[in-house]
Amino acid sequence: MADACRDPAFGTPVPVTYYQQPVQIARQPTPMTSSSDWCSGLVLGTAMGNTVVTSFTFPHDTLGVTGGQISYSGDDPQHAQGTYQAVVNTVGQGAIELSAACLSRMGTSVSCDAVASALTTFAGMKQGDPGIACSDSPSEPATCQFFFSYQNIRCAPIAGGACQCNYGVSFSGTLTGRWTRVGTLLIHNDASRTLPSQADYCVQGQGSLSLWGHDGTSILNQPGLRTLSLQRSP
Amino acid sequence: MKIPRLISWIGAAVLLVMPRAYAQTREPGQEPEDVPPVGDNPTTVEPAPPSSPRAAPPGPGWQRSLYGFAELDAMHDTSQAYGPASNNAMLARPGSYAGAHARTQLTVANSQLGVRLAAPDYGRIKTSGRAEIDFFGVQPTDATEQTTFTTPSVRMRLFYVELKTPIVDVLVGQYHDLFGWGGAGFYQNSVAFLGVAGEIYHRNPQIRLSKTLGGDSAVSLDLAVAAVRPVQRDSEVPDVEGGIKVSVNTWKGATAQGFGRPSVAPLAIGVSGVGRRFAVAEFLPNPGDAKIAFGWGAAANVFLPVIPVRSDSDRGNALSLTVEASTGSGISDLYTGLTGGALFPLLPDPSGNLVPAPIYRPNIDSGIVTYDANGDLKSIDWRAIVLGAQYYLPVANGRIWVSATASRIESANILGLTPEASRGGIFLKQEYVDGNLFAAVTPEFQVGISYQFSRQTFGDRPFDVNLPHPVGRNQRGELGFRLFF
Repeated sequence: MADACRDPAFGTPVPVTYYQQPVQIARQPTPMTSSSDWCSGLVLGTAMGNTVVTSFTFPHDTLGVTGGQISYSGDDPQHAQGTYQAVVNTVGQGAIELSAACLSRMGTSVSCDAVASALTTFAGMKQGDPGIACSDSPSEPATCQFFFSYQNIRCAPIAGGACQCNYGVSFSGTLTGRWTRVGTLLIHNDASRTLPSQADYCVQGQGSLSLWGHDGTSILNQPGLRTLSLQRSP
Repeated sequence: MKIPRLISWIGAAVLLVMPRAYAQTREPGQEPEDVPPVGDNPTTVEPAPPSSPRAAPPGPGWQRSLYGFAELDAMHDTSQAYGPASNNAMLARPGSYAGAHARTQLTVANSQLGVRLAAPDYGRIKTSGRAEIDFFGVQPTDATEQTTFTTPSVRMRLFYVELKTPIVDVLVGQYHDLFGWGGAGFYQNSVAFLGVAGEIYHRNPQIRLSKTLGGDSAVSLDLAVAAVRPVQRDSEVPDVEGGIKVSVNTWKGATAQGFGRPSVAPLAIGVSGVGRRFAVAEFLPNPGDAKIAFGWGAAANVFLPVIPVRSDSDRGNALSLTVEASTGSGISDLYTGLTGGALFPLLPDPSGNLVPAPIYRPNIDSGIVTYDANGDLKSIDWRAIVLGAQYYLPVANGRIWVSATASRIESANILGLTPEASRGGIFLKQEYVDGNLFAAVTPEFQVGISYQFSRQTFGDRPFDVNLPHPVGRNQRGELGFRLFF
C-alpha cells in the first residue's frame, strides 16, 4: 500500500447500558440520549495482591492508515472474479482521564502506575483470533476492542486523585472475501458482511492500482477510507 | 372568520384582565423589531359587537391593529445539516454523507401575524397588550417532510400585557429576554433567521419592571429587572435578569432588525445579566437529593450610527454598526438552538449485567449542565461576539442597502465535560459570517439575498493528537421575500 486517504469518521459509542431495558411505557418520555461512560467501562479488582482490570474500553478517535497489503487472486480466465485478503494497518493515539471516582468505585485504592500495569496486562489478553468481523470503527461492538493492540500505556497522577492515561493504538484487521469486477468497478464481498463494498479502480503503469470508494462510499467498509494507492509487491 | 372578528377575539383574550382606560398609543422607541406602532396601520379596525360575555370585545377608546408579514425564504446549503434556520445547530462532520451533499428548502414558516391593543388611559396609566405568532411550532413526531413545510404548526412568539405608569412600567407575559436586551434594537441586519451563531435571541414568560429616565431629553436611561421562567422548573427559583441601557437620542442611525423593515433608532449601549439556579437530580439511577449549581451570564450590546441617518424618509448613505459580546455559564438555552452537542454522561454499569441496566433521567434540558467524571454538577461555559454592519446606499433614498455579520462562539470547558469517546459529537467553537443585499421594492415589499458561511470545530482528534480538530463547514445562499402589512 503506497498511500491512503481517510476522512475523520466518528461513530457514536454504543450505549451498552441501554441494553436489556424494559419496554418504554406509553405516554412516558423516552430517556434522553446520553454521551458515554466517564470510566469507559473500567472494572478494577485485585488478584493475589495485584491490581487487575477485568473490563475496559480504550477510547480513541479515528486511526490513520499507515500501510497494508491486499492480495487478489483470480479464479476466472477473464480475471473478473476471485478471492482477496486485505490487511489494513491503522495507528493512532488514545487518552483518558480516569477520575478518582472511577478508580475507587470498585472499592479499590490504586496508584496510577498500578493502573497502567493492569491496563497493559488487560490489553494483552486477546480473546480470539484477530479476525474478519471487526474494523477499527469506534462504533464497532465492544468485543472488537480485543482486535486492537495498545502500546506504551502510561498513566500519570493529575489533580483530584485522577490518572491521565495515554497509549498508542494500532489495528491490523484482516479482511477476506471474494471480489468481482464489473467494468471499472471492483466489488469486495466481505466474508463477514452482508453488504458488499464497491470501489472504482484504475491500473496505472507497472503494477500500480488505485482504488476510490464508489460514489463516496468507504473502501472495504472501513469508515472514512476514501482512496487507496497500491503498488505490486516484487 | 373575518379579520375584525379575529382581532376582537385575540384582543379580548390578551386584555381580559386589563383595567378600562383611555386611548393611548405605544411609544415607537419601545417597539421590538419591525412592527409599526398602533395607529399607524391602515388595518386598524373598530370593535366588533360582542359575541359572548366572556369574549366581550373592548369598548370605545380602544385601539387595535393587526400587523405582520408574509414571507418566503428559499435556501440552498452545501450540506444537509441545517433545517430552515441554521442558528447554532450541529454541522455535519467532514466526510459524512450529510456533509458531502447539498440541500434546498423553501419555507413560509417565518411569516408572522400579530395584533396589538391599547386600552384607553386610566388616569396616568397606559395599558397595552400584544399577541404574535409565527409558524415554527413544534411538529408532531410523525410529521413528514411535506407536512413540515406545507402545514407547519403555529408558534407563540409574544403574548404580554404592559402597564406604563409614572412610577414604573410593568410587562407581564412572554417577551424577548432582557438578557442581551432582546427586542430593544440591538439585532443585526441579515436575511438569516435570528439568532445567528453566538447571538442571544430568546423569548420567555416573565414579569418585568422597567423605568425610563429622561425619555424626552438628549440622553435617556432605561433600567429593567425581570423574574423569568426558570430554565429548569425543578430549580424552584425563577431566573433573574437585569439590564441598563443608555440612549443618545440626538444621534440616530438607520437600522433593520433581522430581515425587518428599516427604521431609525438612537445610539444605544446596553449591558445586561442573568442569574439562575440549577437543582439537578443526582447522577444515580434512583436519585436521592438534588445537586445544586448556579449559572450566570453577562452581555454588552452597542448600536452605533457611524454615519447618522438624514431623516426617516431618506436613509441614503447611513452606516450603522451593532456589537454584542456575551459570556456566561449554564446559559446555552439563551442562544438559539445551542447545545454544542453536550449530553449527560452514560450511567456506568461496571458489572455489565445489571437488569435492567441503570438509566439516568435528567430533569433539565441537555446542553446546559452536565456531570463531570467525579459526579459533580457543572455548568457549560460559552462566550460569543456578534458584529454587524449595515450601509444604506445613496440611491433611491436608501431603499437599497447592504449588510454583513461576523460572529464567533466558543466554549472553554465543553471538551473537558465530555467523555473521551464522545468528543467527536460536540463542537468547541463556531464561526459565522454573512453578507446581504436588500431592496425595498415598495415600502411594504422587501427582497433580500444573502450568502452565509458557517464553520464548526469538533472535539475529537483523529489520526494524531497533534493534528488539528476536524472542522465542518456549510455555505448557504438565501433569498427572502417579505410583504409587510
